Amino acid sequence: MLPITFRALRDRRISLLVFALGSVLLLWMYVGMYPSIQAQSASFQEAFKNYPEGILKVLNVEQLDFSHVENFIAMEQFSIVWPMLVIFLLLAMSAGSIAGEAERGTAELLLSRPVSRGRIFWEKYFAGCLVLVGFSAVSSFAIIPFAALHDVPYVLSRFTTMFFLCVLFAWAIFSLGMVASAFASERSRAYGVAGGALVLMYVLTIVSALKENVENFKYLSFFSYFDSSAALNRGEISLASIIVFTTFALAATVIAAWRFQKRDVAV
Amino acid sequence: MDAVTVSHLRKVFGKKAAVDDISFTVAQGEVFGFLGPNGAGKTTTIRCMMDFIRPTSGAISILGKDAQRDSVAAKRSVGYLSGTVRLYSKWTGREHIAFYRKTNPGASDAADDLCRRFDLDPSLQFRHLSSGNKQKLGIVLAFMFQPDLLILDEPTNALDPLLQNEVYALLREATKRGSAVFMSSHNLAEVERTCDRVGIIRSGRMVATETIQSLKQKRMHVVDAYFDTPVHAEAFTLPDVHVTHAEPLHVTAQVRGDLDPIIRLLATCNLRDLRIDHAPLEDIFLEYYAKT
Repeated sequence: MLPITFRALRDRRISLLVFALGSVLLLWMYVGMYPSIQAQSASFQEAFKNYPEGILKVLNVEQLDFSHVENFIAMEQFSIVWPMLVIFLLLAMSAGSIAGEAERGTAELLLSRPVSRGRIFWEKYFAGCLVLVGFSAVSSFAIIPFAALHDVPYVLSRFTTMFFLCVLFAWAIFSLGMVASAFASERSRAYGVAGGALVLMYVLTIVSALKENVENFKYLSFFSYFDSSAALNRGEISLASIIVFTTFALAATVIAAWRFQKRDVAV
Repeated sequence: MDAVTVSHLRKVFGKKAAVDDISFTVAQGEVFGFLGPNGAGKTTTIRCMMDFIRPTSGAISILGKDAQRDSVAAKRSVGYLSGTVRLYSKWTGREHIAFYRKTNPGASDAADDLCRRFDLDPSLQFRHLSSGNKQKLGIVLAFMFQPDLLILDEPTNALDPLLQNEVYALLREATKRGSAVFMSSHNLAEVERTCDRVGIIRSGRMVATETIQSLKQKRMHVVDAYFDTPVHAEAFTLPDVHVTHAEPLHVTAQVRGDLDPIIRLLATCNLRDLRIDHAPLEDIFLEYYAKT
């Protein structure tokens, strides 16, 4: 039953554990810090008033208010740190799935088995989906024990919304990684192309926030649609975010699957 | 039905044709040797047969099934050994065997017997195995399901002579069961010993497909002549005669085809000794590589 998925997960269990632990520990740190931050909320608000609006947009700060933990977590955990973690985790996994197998020569082992190329692709893709859902769940719902531990009130439904937004964002990232991996024969090239595209998107987000005349460039960036403030403060995911992430993930997945069917895997 | 039918296979990388219009068949129960110098297209052909890479044109049938469209069904009955055994570095031999079992469910296998026979410890991680033991694991994985067709890229690579003999014994057992074997090799003694037929590939083109017997019967001789009085090597410039060694009192020549002209010429010389042998298989292959 799904031996390729099982092996993909088993082979990466240490790195998955390290990333999940990293994300959980960060959340624990922020939740632990929150009571003292909340006590200083007024002075933080005063300090933020002097920040340029563009910087606040880049930091994904919707409200200058730390009176509830959701806003603090949206700004500290989910504005930069979590996207970076998920990008490193999923690009490494996707780059290794196809390009890495071709580079190491282990693709020959898989392709010599009586298993279709389609099944190899989808089992590896399924492993990636399990990882991204699991990582998003751990990162979002770790709030439950830590909030209880530090006696911090929170709204579970907003963290549930955050979980769904994380899944959508991570799905798009993983699909981008898979399409790069399906075209490349070296892991580093797949990693570089997908990583480069994401760096470019991040630059577009910053530039569009700082310069009004290129404001529309933000629509070309995943980071503009990963609105953690809206998810955690208002419990909302915009329709645009859902459409962009879902459409991109589906299109990239179809292209990656098609390419893997057609390509020379061992060269 | 032939075990393998390759028809007009062509594979182009960029502008270079790695394999250009090659055709051959391998019958059930036959051992077919695939020979050629490095870069001739042997591995490209094998990779096309295994559907690792897609032919530019041509057709490949494996056990009556299309190698691309029906590759899953075909591979159920195929054992494959790569020229460079590259497996998962952190998996043990046992994990590789378990993975093979899971991806071919329901098939009985002889992996445990083969491990014992090759004295292979399957509990070690692949990265900790010596090159010989890596090759042994590759052989166990290729032979474990007793497949109808074995596709082997230099199967005795890195094995000592005793283990090479064990592989030859495995090949004999496989062909006794009716399995076909397609193997590439650089080892001519191995080819002479194990193969029924050979295909010779050069610069992507199949230059000959012969039985071992007919290759040996090629009329190619090595003539060693010793003289009492000095001779000039130029005197031996005859059609189909290639002088490979020349001293005033000793000439060695390879003769293709009829021996009569050189015998007549030698009869005019002051001969001290004469030896005429059938050329070894190696020279016949080199002749193909050089001239075809």
